[in-house]
Amino acid sequence: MTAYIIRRVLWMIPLLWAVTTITFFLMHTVPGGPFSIQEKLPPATRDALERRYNLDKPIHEQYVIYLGDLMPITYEPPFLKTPDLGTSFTQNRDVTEIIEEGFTVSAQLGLMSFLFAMILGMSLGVISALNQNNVLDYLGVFVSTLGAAVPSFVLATVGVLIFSVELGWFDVLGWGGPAWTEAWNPTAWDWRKVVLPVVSLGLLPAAFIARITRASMLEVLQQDYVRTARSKGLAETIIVLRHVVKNSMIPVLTVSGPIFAGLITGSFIIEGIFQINGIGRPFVDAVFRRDYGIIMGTTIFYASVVAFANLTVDVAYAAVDPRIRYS
Amino acid sequence: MSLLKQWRYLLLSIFAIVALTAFVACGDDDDDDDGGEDTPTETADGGEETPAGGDGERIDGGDLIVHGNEPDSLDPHFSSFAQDISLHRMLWRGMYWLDADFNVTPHMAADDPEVSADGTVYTIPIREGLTWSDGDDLTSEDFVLGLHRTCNPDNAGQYQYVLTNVIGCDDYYSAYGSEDAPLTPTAEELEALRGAVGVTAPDATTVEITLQNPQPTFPIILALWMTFPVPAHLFPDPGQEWPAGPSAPDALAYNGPYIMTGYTPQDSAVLEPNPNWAAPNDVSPTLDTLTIRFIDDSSVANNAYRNDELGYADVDTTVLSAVVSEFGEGDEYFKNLKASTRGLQMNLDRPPLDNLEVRLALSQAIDRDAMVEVVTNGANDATTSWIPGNLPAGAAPDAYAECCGYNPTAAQERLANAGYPDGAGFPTDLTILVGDSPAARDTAEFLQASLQDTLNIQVGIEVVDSATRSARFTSEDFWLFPGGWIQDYPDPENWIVGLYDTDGPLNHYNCSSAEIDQLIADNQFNTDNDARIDAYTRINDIITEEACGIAPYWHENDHHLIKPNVVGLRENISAQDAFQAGDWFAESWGFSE
Repeated sequence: MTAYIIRRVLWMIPLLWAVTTITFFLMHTVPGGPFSIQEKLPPATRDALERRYNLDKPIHEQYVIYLGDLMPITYEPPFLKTPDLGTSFTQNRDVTEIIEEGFTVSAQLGLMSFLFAMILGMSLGVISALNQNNVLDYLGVFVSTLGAAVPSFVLATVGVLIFSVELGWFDVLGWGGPAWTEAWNPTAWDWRKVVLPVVSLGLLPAAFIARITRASMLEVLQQDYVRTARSKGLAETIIVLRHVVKNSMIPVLTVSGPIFAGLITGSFIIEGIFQINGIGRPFVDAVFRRDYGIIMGTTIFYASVVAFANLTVDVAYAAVDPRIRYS
Repeated sequence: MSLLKQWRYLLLSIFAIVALTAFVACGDDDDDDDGGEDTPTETADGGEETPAGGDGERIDGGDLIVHGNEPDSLDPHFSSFAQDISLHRMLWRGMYWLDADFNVTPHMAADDPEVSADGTVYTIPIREGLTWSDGDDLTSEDFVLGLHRTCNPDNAGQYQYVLTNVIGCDDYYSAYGSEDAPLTPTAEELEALRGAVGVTAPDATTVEITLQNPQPTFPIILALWMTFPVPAHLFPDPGQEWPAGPSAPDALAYNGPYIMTGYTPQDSAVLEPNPNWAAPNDVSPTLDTLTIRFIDDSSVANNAYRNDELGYADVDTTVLSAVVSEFGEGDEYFKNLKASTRGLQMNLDRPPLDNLEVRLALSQAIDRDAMVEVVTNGANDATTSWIPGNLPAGAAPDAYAECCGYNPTAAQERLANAGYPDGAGFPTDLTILVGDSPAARDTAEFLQASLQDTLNIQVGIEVVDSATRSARFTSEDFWLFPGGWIQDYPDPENWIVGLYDTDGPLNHYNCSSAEIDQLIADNQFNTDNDARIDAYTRINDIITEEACGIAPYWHENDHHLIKPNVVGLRENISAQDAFQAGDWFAESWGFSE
């Protein structure tokens, strides 16, 4: 298992290099630059700005400079350095700092939404499957269909209108998460700012998980070993928890990795509607404003998170399913 | 449970959701008002104070949260965006200040500048006893460093061109040459170029500025953000990196009415009154805190305003009439004319747009009143003039209605005169280049339909993202381009010089008029102000009557929501670079009972 993990981690190096290179050159082929949105700039000012950020250099030279900054190694002792993701042209700040700040918030939002999605989705799926063709099953299917059919921006907007503007229960603006050290303390959270974004972001994956859980549960419920367990007189609760739910989790685990990675790396739409200072908004803004520093830094970061999430899921398979072993 | 009963539960659930949604959609009508017209109140300094605040007494203290946008930079010597400049003006102030009537008044300066007989040397007395927010002395050296910083090539100040008449500023700024002819100056050479900039401090309370030519607008320039002082005790090098992000508040010192005590990227800036504010107008902040909440989307800001999370918000103009009806004009909703003009820009280098009759035909095919209603929901004011009528050298919106306003018959005649009767033979490759916002698409579709219906000509629409749109405009790769101008400072030269002179760096539509060139050459530095304004008035005529690069169609308005207990949001008539209503005078913001 350890060798497998090391091999997978080493494979990430060429993967990240490929992502970096493709993104770098694709980004520069798109018309316009970081300062082209400012139509008022005289040519002399444009020249000065491009020089300030090394954009006056040939593209291959910029690539080499960027790659050199990105490498965690150096020629001088101790031969290791912190990778430099560059500078944001529009914010005049280190991209690493921007990602760090944004990710702290997006990760909290994503984690809460993921927990919400898993708890709601799995509960709905299990209840539906155990009550197949019953009213509870129809209700579960209805809720999961609704969650999958209603886009998050509609849900968030309607949620704001009902629960914030009309009823005044929740705030419209901002995120209410505390510092990570306080995250275990429920009173440190500003729930007026947490509930709506989490529900809006988490309902779609919850619906997805509910459908997968239900389908997987129904399949497992019909397996011979479940029938055998019942015929042996095992209590239904034990059969469900120990044999059905656990064995139904493999498909759920498969999708939970990408869902988790997607949720914690930010949602442009939900962050925009609630003006949450996560990582999703700066990334999308950066694309529109050709802020090469943020585009590159965030893409590399996203790629790393997705790669690690997939690795974690693969490792978790082995924990859930004894038939799976890596060598 | 029977199947029928289960379906009843399901239908009941659907009904409950639909009913709840309908309740929300129909709600809040009770707050509608007949929108009685309240006239803005004239204030002592000539600004128009909104009647918000009701009859209550002004009170000290309180935490005001207002809608704003995140600045790109906190460096006043670098920035160019309105939201940046809005915040800078709350934190720093210059030697002079523009009051509500455009009068230049001493601010950190002790008096008016003493100008040499030939008009090229300005000697400015600085007030004694000024201090930065951190207690350090604020001296003439700080102002000198501020001007040097704007001219510094490493800082790449985006408004350096405003100081082009200051001796040595252009030479210093272009020390590295251009893209085509790069230079590699040494540190000594750079320092020598800096030393040659005509801005010096003979003593701690005097700034001396030398110009190449006498410049009537220079006192106005001295009131703008790019001349604000730099805390030299913190940033002795004019090219030094300016702080940014959450650590910036503690790394900076301020001389404006507020200090910044908190900055959260993508979220907010928190300001508190500056204990060392020199209060040149005898007006000091009364708020405990002023929070600028960064919100990109005005519909989100409007919901936050409704939920009492904001005391001020810009209006979401896509639902303008609903907002006006909900909040009442003059009660919580206010409108101000912005110093901005938009129009259909035409690339005169591309036939048939080089033909005057074609350009005027396009101009006369646009029903501006209908366009304002259809495209902007009545948010803006239709016009035919480039310079707005409330500014010097400007003209009333209908001043050019006869030559250039909507007239389908005249438009068709002009097109026939140009050789395209009823649109026959008109090139089909013309396009309108727009960004990918809904408002930009609506504008392009309206223009396209106008040209089709009135002139029977087909123009395409090219929708691109905003950076591509701007890049293609500046590289002159377009035919038709909905664009315009927002005033930087209240003088007609800001609407013309660089924009309509043949070699102007911002003349991307290739307007070339010998008369405009001559008028600018003769009057840009003309100390006879009346003659200068007359010249710009004539240039405004030429621009419109010859559609020299643009057919203006509307002046923009700002639309605001202000809570009844918020006072002091005074807008001036130019709304120069305003972001919030009255952000040029934010020290007067406060609460009433």
